Amino acid sequence: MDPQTIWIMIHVVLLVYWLGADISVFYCSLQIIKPSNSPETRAAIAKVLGFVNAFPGIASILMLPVGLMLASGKGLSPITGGWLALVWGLAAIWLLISVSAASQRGTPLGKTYATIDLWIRYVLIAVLTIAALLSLANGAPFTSNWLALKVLLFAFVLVCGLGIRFTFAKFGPAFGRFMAEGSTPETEAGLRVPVMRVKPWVLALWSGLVVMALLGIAQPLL
Amino acid sequence: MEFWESLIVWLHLLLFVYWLGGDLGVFYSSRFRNDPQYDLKTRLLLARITGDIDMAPRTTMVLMIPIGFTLAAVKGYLTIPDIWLIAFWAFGAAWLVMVWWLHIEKDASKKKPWTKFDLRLRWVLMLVLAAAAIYSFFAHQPLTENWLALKLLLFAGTILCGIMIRVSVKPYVAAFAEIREHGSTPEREAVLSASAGAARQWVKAIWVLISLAALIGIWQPGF
Repeated sequence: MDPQTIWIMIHVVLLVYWLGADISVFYCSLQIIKPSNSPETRAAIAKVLGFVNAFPGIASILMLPVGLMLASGKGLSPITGGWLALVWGLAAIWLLISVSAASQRGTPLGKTYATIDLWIRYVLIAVLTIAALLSLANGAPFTSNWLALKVLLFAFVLVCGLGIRFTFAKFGPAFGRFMAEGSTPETEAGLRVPVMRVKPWVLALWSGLVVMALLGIAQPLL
Repeated sequence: MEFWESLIVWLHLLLFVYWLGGDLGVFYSSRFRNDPQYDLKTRLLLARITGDIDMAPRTTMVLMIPIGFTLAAVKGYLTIPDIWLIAFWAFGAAWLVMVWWLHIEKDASKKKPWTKFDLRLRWVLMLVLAAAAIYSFFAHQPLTENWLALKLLLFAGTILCGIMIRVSVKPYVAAFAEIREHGSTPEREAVLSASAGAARQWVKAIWVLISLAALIGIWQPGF
């Protein structure tokens, strides 16, 4: 078997646990704001949401090194050999930071991890956007335009991810208040508003991912 | 690759994404439905949520038949005339309507004959597809490629697993109905968790089968 086959498979499975898992996250978030559901029910839904949501987080981080691995295997990326190993090392560190930020949420250390994770994303968005635009203009570092477009879209979905993070930040505290004070018009609104505001970001992220998938399959000459 | 061909591959991929990815939520949320430490109302609601999320894998499985065969035809791996694809699509659409109706309709007595029909349909479909796959290994028709025939066989395997899930949850459904009407007892909970445990094994088997099918689809080994 061509090693490239394995990498494509991993690439696809990452999409499964990113885009496919997200549908449960989305559906649970709609159920959690339903006033007809009891606090106990909603606490259970919150657990489902927390568990499933870990998967897109991990898959999205691994997508980048796996994608670059594929691109280098196809001869479409200058990042090969030792540079590729470096990308993997950095991705592993990023993954560790991101997972630690989630697992230690609420502690000062968790907050530090979350801040580092945020800055990694800012830098990545900038670097990927520049690399993609340079490639579209000059044919380097990425030689194919469809791949450059995928890189640009990856930066776009990272932006959407940040949009989700910022709009959804209010949900955690609001949920804590809801569990403490019970269902009141204020606590219900506190839950509903972040969920409603996060929706456009989620839909934009999904659109980005499905377009990226189509580009990867069709690999059109642009 | 032609644009239309890419589009079908893309749809085929998205079906896999929402089948395996959707199952993650189903698998995890079903835990709460089976947990006696939650009150009955919560468990019933979680059961409904699990059922709703389960419509993602259910829908994708039904659509996999017309999309999969269309892809095979577009690639030239299907020996039966293209006009037959209309039949695959009509069948897929009709079955999908039935699957959704069974999910939305709450009147159990109205649903009963159709649930039975759905189960029989799955048996027939499983046997027909498995037969077509095995026949293709020898005769190279209706599928010309062995790897594709193997994929079809694996797909028939997922239908069988789905049937086995329905069989293994029978005690579960009965125990859950008893809990709902007469309350939780350790015996009823034991039936529930044993039955759910059995069903889980079949769910995991589906994950293995469709992942293998995906790998073979990417690999397309000649053998």
